[in-house]
This record gives sequence, C-alpha cells and structure tokens, in this order.
Amino acid sequence: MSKRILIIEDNNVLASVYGSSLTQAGFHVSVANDGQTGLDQVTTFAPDLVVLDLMLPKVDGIEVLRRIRAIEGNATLPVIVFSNSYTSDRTRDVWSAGATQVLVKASCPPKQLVQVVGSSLS
Amino acid sequence: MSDNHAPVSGLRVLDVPRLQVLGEETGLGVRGVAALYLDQMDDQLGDLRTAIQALSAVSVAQMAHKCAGSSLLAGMERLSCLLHDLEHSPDEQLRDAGGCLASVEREFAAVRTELAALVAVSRDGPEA
Repeated sequence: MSKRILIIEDNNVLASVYGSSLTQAGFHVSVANDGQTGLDQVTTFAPDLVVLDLMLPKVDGIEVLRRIRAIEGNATLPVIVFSNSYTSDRTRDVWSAGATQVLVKASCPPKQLVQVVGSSLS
Repeated sequence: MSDNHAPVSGLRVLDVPRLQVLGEETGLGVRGVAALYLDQMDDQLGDLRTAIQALSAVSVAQMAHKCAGSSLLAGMERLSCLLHDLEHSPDEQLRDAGGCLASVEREFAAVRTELAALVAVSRDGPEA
C-alpha cells in the first residue's frame, strides 16, 4: 500500500506542484490549505509523513507542529517543515517544536522533496 | 521597495529550463504548470490588490509572500524579485505600494505573454 503524505500548504501552486510530484512518485497525497484543516487531517487521513508550511492561515505552522507532537502516537511521525521565511529564531522554534527536517522552499525542487520524503520513510 | 520598481537587471522574465524540469517532475508538463500558475496568480494578485487598497501592511506582506513563492518556484525571476521587494517593503512605504503593484502587473503581463508563446510550441502536457 502506498505511503500517505499530508501536505499542509495554503499556496495552491506550491501544493499542486509538490503534490503532483509526490503522486507521480507513488505516494498517496492529501492537501490541507490551512493549519486547522491540516490538524484535522492528521487524525482523519492518518498520514505516514507530513509536509508542513510555516506561514498558514488559522493556525500557524509552528503551532500545528506542536499540536501534532502533542497527539498520542505522533511523537515520531516525520514532519518536514517547508517554508520560504527564515530567521535564526524562527528556525530554532521549528526544531524545538519537533521538526524532523527543515527545507527551504525556494531552493527545493520537487524532485528533492520526493527524495527527502522517500528517505524519511525508509 | 526600489524607487522606480524596476526589475533587477540580468534577471529573466521566465526561466524556461526550470519550468520544463518542473513540468517533467510533476507530470503536468509545461502546459499544465503554466495553466496552474496563471490561474492561481490571477486569484493571488487580486487578493494582493485588495490588500494594497485596504492599506493593510500585514495582508500585503502575506499576499506578496504567497505570490513570490509561486513565481519563484515556477521560474518567474523578475516577477518574484518585485514581489519579494514588496513583501519586505517598510510599512511607511505602503502608500507607494500602488506603484509597485503596477510594476508587478506589467511584469505579470510579460510572463503571461512568454508563457503563451512557450505553451504554443510545447508538445507536452495533457492537452498537447
């Protein structure tokens, strides 16, 4: 059975491009366009891995990550944090909230994301 | 924000090889990626226009960030640069954002023209 990937991203261009690449690679992909919907889908979709944007409507990405980690059984769920905006403080917050990996969106082509997702799940 | 809102020289309207790779990696083809980008950018630029008219600095930054992310990913070099400048412009320059928006819209028109030309000769994608 194909692995389930949840993309939490409010930019439809990015979500579609990365989602299509992951689907092409054989993953089962679901997209949530805001933080609250993403949190809901963590429960209903039961992903094997989450790709998480930081700047999100309703619930911000770092808070989403904290809440994912607070859900029983999700302590080791791989969460790849994906954003264009970085300051050192922000990066520190991302790691302390429990990110598995942090990628800079602007310099990450879809192929690289597919590779990172694959290696995170292997 | 620069005074004349001019794109940085040396940047391309469209990074064609990047867009072609994106088309291959997603399975959408150049045609599919172009259609997705243009459709979403029409909406996103509309939201950016509304934020500028409302003089909402936070919304302008958020929408410019979103448009810049889409444009950078798709290889729109000059447009993403303009949007990045708008995203990071100081709050006190917000009243000047209308001028920057005009530059963004001109650049987006150039992108649309180049994409149309590229799609016309492209043989990939579901509609080819």
